Amino acid sequence: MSSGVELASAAVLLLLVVLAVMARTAPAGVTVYAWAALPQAAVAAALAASGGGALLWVDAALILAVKGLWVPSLLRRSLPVPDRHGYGLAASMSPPMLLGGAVVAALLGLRLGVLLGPAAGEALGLGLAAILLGFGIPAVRSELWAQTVGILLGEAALVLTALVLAGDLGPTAEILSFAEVILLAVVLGAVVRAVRDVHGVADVRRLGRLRG
Amino acid sequence: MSAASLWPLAVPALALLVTVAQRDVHRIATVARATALVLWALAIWALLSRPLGLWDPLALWFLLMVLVLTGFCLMVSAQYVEAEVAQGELTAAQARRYFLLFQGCVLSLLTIGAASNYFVVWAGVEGTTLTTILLVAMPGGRAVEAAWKYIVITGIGGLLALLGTVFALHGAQIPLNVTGFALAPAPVAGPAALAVQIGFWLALVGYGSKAGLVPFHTWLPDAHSEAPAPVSAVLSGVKLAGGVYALLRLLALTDSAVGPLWPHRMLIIIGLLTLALAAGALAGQRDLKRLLAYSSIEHMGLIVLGAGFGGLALAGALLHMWTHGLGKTGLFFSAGNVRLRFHSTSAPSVRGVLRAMPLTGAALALGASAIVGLPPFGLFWSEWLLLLGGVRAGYAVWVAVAVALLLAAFLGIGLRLPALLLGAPPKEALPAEGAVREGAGSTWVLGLELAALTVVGLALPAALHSVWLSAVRLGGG
Repeated sequence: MSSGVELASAAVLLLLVVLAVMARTAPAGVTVYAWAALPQAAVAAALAASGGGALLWVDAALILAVKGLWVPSLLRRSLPVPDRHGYGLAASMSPPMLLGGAVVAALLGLRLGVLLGPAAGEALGLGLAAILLGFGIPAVRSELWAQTVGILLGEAALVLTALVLAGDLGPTAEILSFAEVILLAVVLGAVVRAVRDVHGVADVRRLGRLRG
Repeated sequence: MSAASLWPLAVPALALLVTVAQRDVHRIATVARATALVLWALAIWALLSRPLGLWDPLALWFLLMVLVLTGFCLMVSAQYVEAEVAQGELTAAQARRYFLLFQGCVLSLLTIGAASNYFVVWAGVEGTTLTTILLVAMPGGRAVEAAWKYIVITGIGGLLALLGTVFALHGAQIPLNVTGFALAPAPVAGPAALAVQIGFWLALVGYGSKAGLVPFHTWLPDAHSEAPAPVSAVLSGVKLAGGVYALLRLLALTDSAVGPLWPHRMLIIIGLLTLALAAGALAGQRDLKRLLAYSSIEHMGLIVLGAGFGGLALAGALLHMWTHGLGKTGLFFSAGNVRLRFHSTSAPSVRGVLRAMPLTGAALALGASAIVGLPPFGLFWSEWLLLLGGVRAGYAVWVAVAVALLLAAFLGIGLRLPALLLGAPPKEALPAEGAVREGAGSTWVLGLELAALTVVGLALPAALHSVWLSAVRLGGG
């Protein structure tokens, strides 16, 4: 049962990340992020149900509470709603190109997943594709809220992939990753607000005075 | 080793609590100074008693470095922030937030060194990143742009490092809740070996972004140049080395699980690319802090190169973490003094530093001599060991390339720095009645750091030498 749930969850998460690439408003992006807690919790619950240990049930509940409720509420408070809807493209890559890249990544991930172990191969591959797509959002979307959602969705995909691979991350890694995602959301929100305060708009197209 | 190894964290944690309860900037600065003194006392205790039941020699080596250097950074922070408040550049509320974040950063850095678990090390690196991002953003203006670039690149990097750690431990068949570092796991093959290799790749990308390695370095010059000077110092002298330390922990595991050949080659390639980029960029810098930032990239490349060579070169790389940290923090403190006087760190606004600020100018000149690897400073010996180790390990051609790049870096700094140091300073930079005193109390820190660099260059103190050798053996050197 566990491997079927893992595969379905990874597929749902990948779909949610695709939706986030296309999201036009900050509230929509945050809602997609909140829904992404479900597939992560499903994987943890499926692993717990198939003999993975009681702590995985706690993990599933915490994922729902922290990533489904708490972090989205933090983001809703901190991310600015832009005065117009639509896409802001950050770089030379466009969302269709990123989605095409995700398809290639998924195929590569599937191949890699099969090489790493047939039991979790496909789910692992889809998880890796979701990570690449999530972390790719800052390369295509210029609005800082979209980039924030992309980074956090990449983290969600990463946790799902790690769970699929290892079965159980152990209490230390779990607790620290929860702390990380909360703090990351807080700091991302704070910097987005600071950028908006300085430039009037939280968009990377208004940044560019520093040359790296 | 267990959670008990984390007890030094009590010092910055207590300082944080006291800072939270205080409103007065001078009292908060006094807390920072007191924290520095306690950290130094802790360093002396750890050095003399060598509590290897708590920390292995590699952890102890890094922890000692953190204790000493963050102590310097806290001391200078206290002086710097008081001066900025006096000049009206910072409000009391901003100063308080600065110290809260800085103490949080010290706490995270100590976590890296004191931890006996891969994930706790990762958490320490992440904590350092998150606190310093907010510190970088503090001045506002262009600094918030630097902070955004910093958080996007290193935020993603940190998450990849977490995934890499999971892959590497899982592939090496080490339980993820392991306490202590797996120093010699059994060799693995097939899918498990592939998982370890993917894990190391991801960790190299993740921790490499934290350490400013090419091609994930682009946040570093911006963040270092925009941040307040003591923050640039802690970023460059300690935080970057933290990324390399975390990577070294996984390198030891990868070496045992899948063999040393390919991870070391990867480190050599990344190290040389990093060195090449920095050497090329140094000559084009007109801003003192950007110059120092690119120099930090150069030195991180050198340290990774030494880790890639292994053996004696690893000994050089570990020593270089210390010597670079001492030299670079001193240089950033000097840059802070320059900013307080000139209200800029860029040419042509900054010129004639030696005449306007003789002590700071001398510290800059001596620090730059140290950082380019001139004797008698410690960096000369650490670089020498690193390069000699490379030759002994059979990488003579790569060592020759590295020497050529180091010469280019030497020329880059040598061409740019005199323009800032020499000549007639602008009138407004000359000391005036009521102006901020040169260094306002931090010049003794600069002197102490230069003296320490000289001592390390002439003869490493016996107690430190012993920890160093044990750390090198543990790291596979």
